[in-house]
Amino acid sequence: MSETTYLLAVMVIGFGITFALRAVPFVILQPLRDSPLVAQMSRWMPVGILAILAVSTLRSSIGADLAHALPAAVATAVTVLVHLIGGRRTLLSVGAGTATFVLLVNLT
Amino acid sequence: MTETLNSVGRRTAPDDAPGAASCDTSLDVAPDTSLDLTSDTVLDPALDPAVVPEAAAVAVPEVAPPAVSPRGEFVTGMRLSFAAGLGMIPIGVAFGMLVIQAGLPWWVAPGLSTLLFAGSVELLLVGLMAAATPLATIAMTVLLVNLRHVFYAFSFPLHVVRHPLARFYAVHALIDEAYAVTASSPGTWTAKRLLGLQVSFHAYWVGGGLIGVLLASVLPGPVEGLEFALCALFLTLTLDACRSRAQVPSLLLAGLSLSLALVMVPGAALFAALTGFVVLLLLRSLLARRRGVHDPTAPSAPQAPQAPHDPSDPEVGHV
Repeated sequence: MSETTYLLAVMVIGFGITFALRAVPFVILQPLRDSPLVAQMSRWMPVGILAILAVSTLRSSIGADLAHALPAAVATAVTVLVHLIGGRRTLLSVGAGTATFVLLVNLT
Repeated sequence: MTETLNSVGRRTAPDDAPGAASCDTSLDVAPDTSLDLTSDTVLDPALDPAVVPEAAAVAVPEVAPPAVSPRGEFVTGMRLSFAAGLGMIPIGVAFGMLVIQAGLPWWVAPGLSTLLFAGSVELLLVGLMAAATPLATIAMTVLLVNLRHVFYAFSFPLHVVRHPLARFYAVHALIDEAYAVTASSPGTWTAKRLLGLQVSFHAYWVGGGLIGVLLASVLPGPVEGLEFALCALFLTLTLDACRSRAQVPSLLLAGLSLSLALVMVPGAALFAALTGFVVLLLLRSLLARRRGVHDPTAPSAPQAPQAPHDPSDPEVGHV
């Protein structure tokens, strides 16, 4: 197998698996659309999934370097405060939080 | 699971993989059977929009305003993508640089980003591909890292998209960020708005990768810390999704599940936390039903017509 064939095979396999993981749940849930349980889950799940994603990206921002933990905590506080005080303008809150983190990580 | 993950991850993934957006897992087993699923799934008659009862699973009763022009809706989707783009572009750049630094041909960056469109696994694959890892291992890695996507179907507003090709694309481009942005404002989505959002995300990711490929020869390394933008995005979206007290139990259960996952399976915490969260929600549902508790998040819209003399209802008006 040449290198190009190998690289193309990785892409095709990666596409197939990723697409299937995204598509199959829709097919499975289709007949259950009217079920009250699925409707209830769809109302309950987003906030928790978002919170879990937030913490897991926070964790990968800190990474292996514990010196990043304090900057991450400060940047998290800045993001939350700017969002709540600044009228929930996502771009503003994300910009402020990210700038805080980048500055603290690179200057300390 | 954790054991194998670490062996694979350490052997092949570069330690400095910048800002992998999520926790990653991988194993050494080998399914590459799922390829056949790609072509028919979306065109499956079961997915035919005509059969789909509108918005049964959507929490908020109001539906997006139909009067807005399609182009306006697409632009709205693009505008809603900006905040996430702040995080996606720098990580895309880092990914493109990594591809070159790993000695892979440049087209691997746009190739993976177009076809997989899954940030964390792409960053992981760069190292695996550079080490010529067997395809079976690659397949298992992709499967495990992307397994979290199975939870997104519960509330992603795919039902607003009618055209089969557009549905195919909306499923293909269902990344964490797309789920997150739609989940924080349910009930406001139209097909054009959703596609505007997803096409923008795809452009950021592929474009960022290409910039990274070009920059790889010029810059020593990407700016450290930019990946925090994704964390900040998820933080703000969590705040937006949690405006009423009715959401607090879900948030607490997510916290419980995540804490347990971090302690028990730190190597696969994201997937374990999501699974645990769903299990806890199912238990909650069971308990609530047994006690007959009213669900405060339920839409208040009644199923049976009441209001016998609603003036806006012409049917009733002249009775």
